[in-house]
Amino acid sequence: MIFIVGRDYFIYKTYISFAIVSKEVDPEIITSELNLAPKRSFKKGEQSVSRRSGSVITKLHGLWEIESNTTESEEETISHHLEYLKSILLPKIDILKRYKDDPRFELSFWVWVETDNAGIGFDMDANDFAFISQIANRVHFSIMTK
Amino acid sequence: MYDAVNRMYDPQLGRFGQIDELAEASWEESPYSFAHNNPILFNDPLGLNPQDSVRAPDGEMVADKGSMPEVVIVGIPNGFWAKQRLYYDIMSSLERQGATIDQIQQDDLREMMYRFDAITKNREAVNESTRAGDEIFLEAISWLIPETEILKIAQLRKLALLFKLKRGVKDAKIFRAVGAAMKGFDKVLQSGGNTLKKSTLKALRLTKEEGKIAIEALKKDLGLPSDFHGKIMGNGDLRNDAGDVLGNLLDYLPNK
Repeated sequence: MIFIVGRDYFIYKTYISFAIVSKEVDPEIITSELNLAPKRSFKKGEQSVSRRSGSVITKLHGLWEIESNTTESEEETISHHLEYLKSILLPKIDILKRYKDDPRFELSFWVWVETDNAGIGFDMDANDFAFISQIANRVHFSIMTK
Repeated sequence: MYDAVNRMYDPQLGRFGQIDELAEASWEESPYSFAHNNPILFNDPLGLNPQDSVRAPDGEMVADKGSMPEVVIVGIPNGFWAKQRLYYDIMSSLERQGATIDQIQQDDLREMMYRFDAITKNREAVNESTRAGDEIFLEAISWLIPETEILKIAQLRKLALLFKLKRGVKDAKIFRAVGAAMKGFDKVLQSGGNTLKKSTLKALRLTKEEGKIAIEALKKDLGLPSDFHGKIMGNGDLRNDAGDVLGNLLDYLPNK
């Protein structure tokens, strides 16, 4: 007799990135002011070529970004990513607050969640919200479920 | 056994005895199968990938547009010039990337470019060798087309093979006069919106899951707001209203 046993857990692939976008300010200046190397950055006007279409892609603004490591876990949580970003960004909070208030910059968090579950729920406490609202103009959630 | 021009068909087995020369156009099925295993709806008199009804009666190309909506056959009166232009397009693309023919890693492509280089530098050789030129031309096109278009390229090769079959030796001019171009890259699949439409997913041959991840990853990577209004083109490019290419969805496919 063959028993087919279904999987009784789900995987949550998550990370959070924090990006500073600016049409006017070079990401190298941001790196220098924050004294923090981005995980990824590009300048306005920078060009690259699409691997698939061969089209020339032109960046319309500069971007400076750091990102927590992507984790694949059975736990429905993003807290570890926020803690990581807090540990890096809190020491720079004064500069980041200044950027947030400067209309030349757009600061945002991007929460990425991929899961084979039909949905996901996670908690964020008041401290998380306070941290985010201090340094970001917006938060984007990309939640991909099955 | 029946002779289906390109292969022998065994009616007892209901299969061909040889592999389909155009097997790459039908990855999902056996290269030995006959008429998609559905002889009521399909036929395969030539033994060449049966799904459409391309014909070349009396040298006139007739294509079933229902099955090949985005493949258009265009006449190139001076075939050599088109091929030469293509060669220079490839060369300039390589130069932009700081590479030369020698640095092409793919052996077949490098060999093709050397042959084309020699032909381009020797017009007389080209005029004597149009068949080789035509075949190189088709190979070159297949290298310039994104992976999502490979199926269409396979169909394109089928057209070429049909022309070869039809032309024989005397009808060389027919094949020489026919170049092939892909249409649809500049077509706008959808404007605006955060969700890819079913028609967009179908045109780009993406699953719903792949589409969701690709559009989100592209916007995140580019630092675009979630309500960004752009146009998704037939080749997967995302353009803004000014026509700038901001990125390509297909570059963001998961695990590819």
